[in-house]
Amino acid sequence: MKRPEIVKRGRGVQPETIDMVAKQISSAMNATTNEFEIKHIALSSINLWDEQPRTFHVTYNEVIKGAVDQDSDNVAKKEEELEGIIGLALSIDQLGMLNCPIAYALPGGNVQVLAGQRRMMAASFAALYISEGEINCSSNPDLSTLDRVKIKIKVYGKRPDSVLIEQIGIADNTQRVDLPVSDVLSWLIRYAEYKSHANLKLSWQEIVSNLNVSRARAFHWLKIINEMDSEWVKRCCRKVIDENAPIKYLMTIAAAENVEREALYKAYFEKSLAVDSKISITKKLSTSSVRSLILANASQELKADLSHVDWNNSRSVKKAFSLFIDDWENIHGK
Amino acid sequence: MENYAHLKVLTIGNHKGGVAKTTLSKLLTEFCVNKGKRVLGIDIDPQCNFSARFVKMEDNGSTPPIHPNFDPNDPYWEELPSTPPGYWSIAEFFKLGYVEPYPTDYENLKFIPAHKHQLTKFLEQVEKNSIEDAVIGHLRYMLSLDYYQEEFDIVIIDTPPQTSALTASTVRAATHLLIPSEMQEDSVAGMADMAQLWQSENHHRPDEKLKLVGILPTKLDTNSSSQRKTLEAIKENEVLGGHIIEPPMRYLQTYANSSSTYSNPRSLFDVHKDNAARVEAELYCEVIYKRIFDEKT
Repeated sequence: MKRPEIVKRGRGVQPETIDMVAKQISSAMNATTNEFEIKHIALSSINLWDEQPRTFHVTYNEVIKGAVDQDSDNVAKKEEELEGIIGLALSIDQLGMLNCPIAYALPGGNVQVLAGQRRMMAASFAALYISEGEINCSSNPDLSTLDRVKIKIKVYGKRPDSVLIEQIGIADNTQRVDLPVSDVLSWLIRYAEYKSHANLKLSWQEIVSNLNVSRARAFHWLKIINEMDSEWVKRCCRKVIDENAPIKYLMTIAAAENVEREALYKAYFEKSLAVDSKISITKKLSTSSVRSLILANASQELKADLSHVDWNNSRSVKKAFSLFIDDWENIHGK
Repeated sequence: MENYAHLKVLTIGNHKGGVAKTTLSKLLTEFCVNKGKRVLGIDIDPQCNFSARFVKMEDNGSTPPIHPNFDPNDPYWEELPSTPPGYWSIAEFFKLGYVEPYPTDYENLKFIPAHKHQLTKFLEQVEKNSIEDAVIGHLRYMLSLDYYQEEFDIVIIDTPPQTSALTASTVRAATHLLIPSEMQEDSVAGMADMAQLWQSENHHRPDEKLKLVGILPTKLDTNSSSQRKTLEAIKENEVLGGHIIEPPMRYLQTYANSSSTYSNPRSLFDVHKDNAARVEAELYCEVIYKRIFDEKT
């Protein structure tokens, strides 16, 4: 008579369990402050970071459901983000997670993500819906999967200080090319505030290393931060962050003299520059602010042509402005 | 982080349930009291079994009684965010910022009991509002107050078998950690979780690290070859071997008898001096006691 085989296993606690405990106790005994280690953490034990540098419209719940709430705001952006996350999920399913997210340990065993929020969302989607490269969405996913599936995470033993948290967050994002300039600006303002609370000044070197930009660009960013006391710089920052206004406008306003900022701001945001060519320079704008506007935005060729303009003569400035408008329209269109 | 002058704070924990944490908490409390130390027992486990040994609990053992010193008209309560209910439990400390330890049958033992519903409710609120970070330091802050530093030599804390902000707060408050473990797969694996918490805690401590008193093998069935084999393997392990406390707590009926709420005598240390459980308990409690108070063994 055929009988099932006896499965032979070692008696008592498995040696691997004892080794695992020994390793953990050894780590605990030798733990020092400010350390991190690579751990495997269940997806359900990872807390998201609400203030992370990258702005997300799609929520974690929507990722878990695999669908965007059609009654919510920003549906188009959410759907675009969800598509990106699904693409990343497919890649994680195929290749694994190439760079592990960064987090710090919370009391009770959970961890708080500092960098890699999108990857963590994608890993959750992959765990719930992707199998062997195929997406199988379900209206009733097995959420206990998130308790079982673990991902590799670099976990700080304690919460790093605020400046380091911000550095980690932005460094992780600026290694990517698609971080919106509004997010970079938001981050930079917040980071400068943390530095200021610690009585430290933001340096261009930090901007170069954290944002991965050229020194020239870093000086522009630094100028903005240093001029944040100006009402017009502040207003322009809001325009960039909230309405995706061109960063070039903000840089120009920050670089201009304080007396010229209001006029520049109004020229950029309260009038259509390219259309309103009937502007009365002497009555509505000072010649010096128009000079700043033109020289900050003109092409190199036009700047050479304008080298002989008498900036104190309104007629001459008007002519220069007209040339500038033509130049602008040639480059950017009407 | 607040420093203690001389106070020792022992947290007894293992994330696995049923490994005799409460039994060990009771025994060590009684042992230290018998040694003449001024002891404060704290029960963080909503099951309230540690509390029931030293405080006459109500509502089937889930609620502490009205405190004998409670005066509802005491103007002191005006400083609290809400009027206290008359009983005190560790949940009241977390919620109101104040708790008054109960006197016990032992002159040199005071006790802060658990409260089943209040503790469970508080824990739910902590998780719901994600305020774990804020809660974790509360207990250490409380024990650093002059009253506790001056009135007690040792605090013994029994923890629930779960990972929570409250368990983490007992680890933050502790100077010493004791891990009881059965010689079975789940219990041994549970030690790793506790060690993880211990490691995470030591990341926070630049100077005075949390000390591991040791690992006490509990409920050891000496007739079980797999348990004996496991104990031998742990003893031979380079890291774990030095932490094992001997003799182990064996699986003996006397422990269960003396642990029940209506046991007579109430303490294992009051049974016949030759009783096997009492003999071994005195031995391992002595080892633990000496390790905590840095006495030579």
